[in-house]
Order: sequence, then C-alpha cells, then structure tokens
Amino acid sequence: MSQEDTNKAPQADNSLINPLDVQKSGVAEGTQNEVIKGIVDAGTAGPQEKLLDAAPEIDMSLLENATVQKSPILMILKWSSGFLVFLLFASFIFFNSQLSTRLDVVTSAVNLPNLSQNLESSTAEVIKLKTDENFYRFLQLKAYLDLFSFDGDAFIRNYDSIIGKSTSEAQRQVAKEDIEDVKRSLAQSFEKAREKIKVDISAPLASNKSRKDLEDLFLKSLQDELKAKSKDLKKNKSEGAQIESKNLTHISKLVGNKKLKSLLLKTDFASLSDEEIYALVKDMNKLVVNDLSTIQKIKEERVKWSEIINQIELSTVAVDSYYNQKSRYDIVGGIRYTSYDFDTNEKRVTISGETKRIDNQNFSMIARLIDEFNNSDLFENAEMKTFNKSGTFLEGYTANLKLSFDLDQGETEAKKNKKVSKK
Amino acid sequence: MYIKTYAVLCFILTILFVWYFVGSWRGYAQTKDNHLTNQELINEYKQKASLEKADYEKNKTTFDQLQDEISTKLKDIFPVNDNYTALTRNLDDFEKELANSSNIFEISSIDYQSPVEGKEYNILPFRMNIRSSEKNFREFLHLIEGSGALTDNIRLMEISSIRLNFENSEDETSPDVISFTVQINAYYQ
Repeated sequence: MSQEDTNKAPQADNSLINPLDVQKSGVAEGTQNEVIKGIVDAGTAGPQEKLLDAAPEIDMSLLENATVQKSPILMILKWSSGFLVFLLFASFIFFNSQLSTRLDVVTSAVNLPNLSQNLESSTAEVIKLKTDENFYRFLQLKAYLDLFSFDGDAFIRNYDSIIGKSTSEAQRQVAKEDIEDVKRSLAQSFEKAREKIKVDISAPLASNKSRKDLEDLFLKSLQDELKAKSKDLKKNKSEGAQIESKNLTHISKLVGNKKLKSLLLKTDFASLSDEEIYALVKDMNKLVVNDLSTIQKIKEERVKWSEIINQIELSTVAVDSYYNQKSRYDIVGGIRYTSYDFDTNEKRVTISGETKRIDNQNFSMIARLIDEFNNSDLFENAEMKTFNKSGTFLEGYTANLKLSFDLDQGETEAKKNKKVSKK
Repeated sequence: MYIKTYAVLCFILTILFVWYFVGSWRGYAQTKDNHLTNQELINEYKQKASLEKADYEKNKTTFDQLQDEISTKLKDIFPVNDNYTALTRNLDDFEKELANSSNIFEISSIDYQSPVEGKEYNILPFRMNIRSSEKNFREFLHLIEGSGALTDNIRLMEISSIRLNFENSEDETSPDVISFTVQINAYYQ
C-alpha cells in the first residue's frame, strides 16, 4: 500500500445508505457545513427506503396472568436436600449433646441429660462402691492375718520346745498339748483369710479397658482410699489413732500382694504336718507386714551365740579331751581360751588362748583344732597363719593361739528352719 | 440442569447423613448399654458393700480385743518409743534373777548410744560391761536369745558383738569368772 493510500479516508459502498446521509440531505451545499458534511459523508447517499415498520407496542396486561411452568422433580429434590441438611444438622446436635461436652452450655440450660456424663458418673459410683467393699474386706483380712501371726508365734514357741534338745520332758508335754489348740485356731484364721483374699478386687465395669487395667484401676482406688484415711488419722495425736493409721499403712501392703494371695489359695492347711505348718507360719510372716511379723523376722535373723559357744567347746573337746578340766591342763596340757570376740555384723569369731603340750606337738594340736572348726556345720574359713611357742623340752611348750573363723553364712534361725524342714 | 445438580446434592447429603448417623448411633448405643450395665452393677455393689461392712462391724469387737491384746504385749516387747528406762529395769531384773552367792552376775555399766532409724523398726544400741560366772553367762545368752516372746515381757533384743575374757581360776571348785563387754540392739517401732 502507498503512503497516499494510507492517508486517504476509506470510501463506503455506494449501494448502502447511511442514515446520517439521509438526515443531512437538507443541508445546502457550498456552506461551511460542507466541511462537516465532508467529515461525516460516507458517500453512501442513495434512495431513502424504510426497512422496518413501526416498532410494535407490548401489551403488558397479557403478562399479568402468565405463570412460569414448575418441574415437580426439581421441587422434590429441593425439598429433599433441605430436609437432609436439616437431618444432618439435627443428628449432629443430638449426638454431640449426648456423647460429648461441647454443647454443655445448651444442654444444661434446657436440662437435657448428657449420656456420656451419666456414664462417667455411674462408672465413678461403681468404683466407689467396689472400693468400699474392698476396704471392709481388707480390714477383716488384716485382722485374720494378725490373728494367724499371733497364734503362729505360740505355735513356733511350742514346736521349738517339742524338738529342742534341752527341753525337759514336762515342758515338752505341755508344749504338745498347747500346740493342738493353737493349730485349730491357726486353721480357722487361715481359712477366713483365704475367704477374704480370694474375692476379685475389680468389678466387671462396662469399659474398653483390659482386665489388667481394670484391676490396676481398682487397686489404685483402694490404695488411695487407705492412704487418705491413714493421713487423716495421723493428724490425731492420740495413741489409738496412731495405731489405726499404722494398721491402714500395713493393709495397703496387703493390697495387690500376689505372693500372699497365691500362698493362701494354694495351701491346703488341713493336710499339713506340724513341720509344714512351722514353715508356712515363717513364710506368711515374710509376706505379711505387721508388728508381729516384723518381730518374727528380727528373731529369725538373730545369731544364737550360745550354740556357737557350744560348738566351739565340742570342736575343742574333739581335739583336747581334757578341755575345761583345770587340773589336767597343768599336768598334761591342752587348750585354754582366754578371750572370745564375736561380731554379728562381720559374722566372724576370734578366739585367743594358748595350748600347752609336754610332747612339743603344740602346732599339730592347733592345726587339728583349725580342721575341726572347718569341718563343723557352723564355722568356715578358720585360720591361723602364724605359729609360735616357747618353753623347754623338760617342762613342755606353750603356744599362743589366736584363731579366727566365719560363721557359716545363714546360720541363723533361718538355716535352723531348713534343718527342721529336712527332718 | 438444576434437576441434575439437586439430584447429585441429594445423593451426597444422603451418603453423608447415613455415614454420620450410623457411626454415631453405634457409639450412642454402646454408651447407653454401658450406662445400663453400670446401673445394674451399682445395685449389686451397694448390697455387697453393705454386707461386707456389716460383716466387719459384727466381728469388730473381736478384732479390737485382739488388737488391744497385741498392743499390750508389744508395749514391753516392741514399744513405740525407745523406752530405755523400762529396758534398764529389764536388765536389772536379769541381774536379780541370775546372781547368787555361788554364781556371780554383775552389770557394772550400761551405755546407751544414739538410736538408729530403719524402715520397719528402729534400734537402740547399748553396751554393757558384766562380770559373770560361766553358767550365768550362758543363762544371760539364753535370755537375750529368747527375748521378744509374746508370753514374756522382755524387750526384743539381739547381741551384735561380745568380747569376753576368762579370768581363769586355778581352783577346780570355784567357777571361772568371765568379764565381758556385750553390744546389744534393742528394737522398737
């Protein structure tokens, strides 16, 4: 396209009529409007024809009675949707009001019960009632176990008298009579304790918790109850209240004591011999916590020094047949002790003394004494590493003796009981 | 087009409603069952608790009597406090019981040390210096070894160490005299 073509205004199709040309037909040529005409002249001036007739007039009255045609299916669907939304909302409200605490403000205002809260409070009520039952049951259990320990002490004393080597016949006879009464009382308290401990500590709560969790829940509830009551009683400074408080502390140690429960349930008391009852009493004292069982434990751990001294003498007599015969010592010699040193904590004994021999065999005598101590049931690790003597061939020799040995570990009442049960 | 839209909406809402309702109803029904079960348990355990309480109340007098008897015996054997004055009287009673003209038993000193507190019991340690015949020495050992029996009123004690020296007499007829220092633990609650 040339520069002149681009500057020239586009020419319209002459067959088309421009309405502006029709309007402008009355304007005289050659006037100043020619410029304007020239601007607006599209060059389409042609025959003036009307294409359209006059616009029709709309009769609005016809529309007054006209209605839109409605679809029934659409109506149903709309109503259904609305109803479903309502149902969804209503069930949300209902279930939340019953199963959670989110709508507590609303439910409490209209006094509507909340099912989950009701369940919580009924669960708490069951736990409380079962704990009350457990509390009174364990009070009775403790009393029966105390009675068992009390009679058990009498049984042990009588039994020791019966089997003791140093008991007189009269004492033995009295002990045999007493022991029968004590056995009957022991059997009764044992059976009653068994009746109380065999009851399940937990209740079959409607819950998702496992059996073990339920049991732990009830154990804890009972322990808390006992602690709270014991604490209250401790505030009271009277002796009775202090004893009660301590008893409740002892009871809390019975709660959940599986070994005690197993022992009570598995033992058939009626079929036990006296030896077996003796062992049972000792076993029960280890598992039950009360003042009587504490006393029994202390007694079991005691070292019987009289038996130790007896054994020292027996071992010495085995080496020196004239031991403790003062007149013989100066003539034929022997062993004489000057001091003993017994220590329960170290379980060790040190003996000092001297040996006198006419035939200069002091060291052999001491060596035999050491062997005798080591061979006994009560002693071990007897030793003396330094030997010395003085004297003359004619007058005899005197050797110092300083011998140490350990008590055979466990030579206490506990070991003695083993010997009793082996018989 | 509207019909289709509403139809789809209805369908989705129906699914949503059924899913929510069925799930929630299960939880509701379970909770209600649990609550009913608990109501039955409440009735059952109300009865059991009151029976157990009645059982305890019925035997309470017997239980209290036993408790009193044990407490009375423990006052001397395993007292609440160290009660060293009563213990001193016990030891003097030993001397009175054992000593006679032919067999001596002399407690020359008693020295109480600081108590030691333990979990289940407390200890009052003390040391004694005694001169005694051999026979009385053995009797003394038996008394200590037998202490704490519920039939006696002797304090529960244990010998923790003995150091003894024989004062050997040349005379065959006169008994040997033993001088010993004994360390004893006396127990209390």
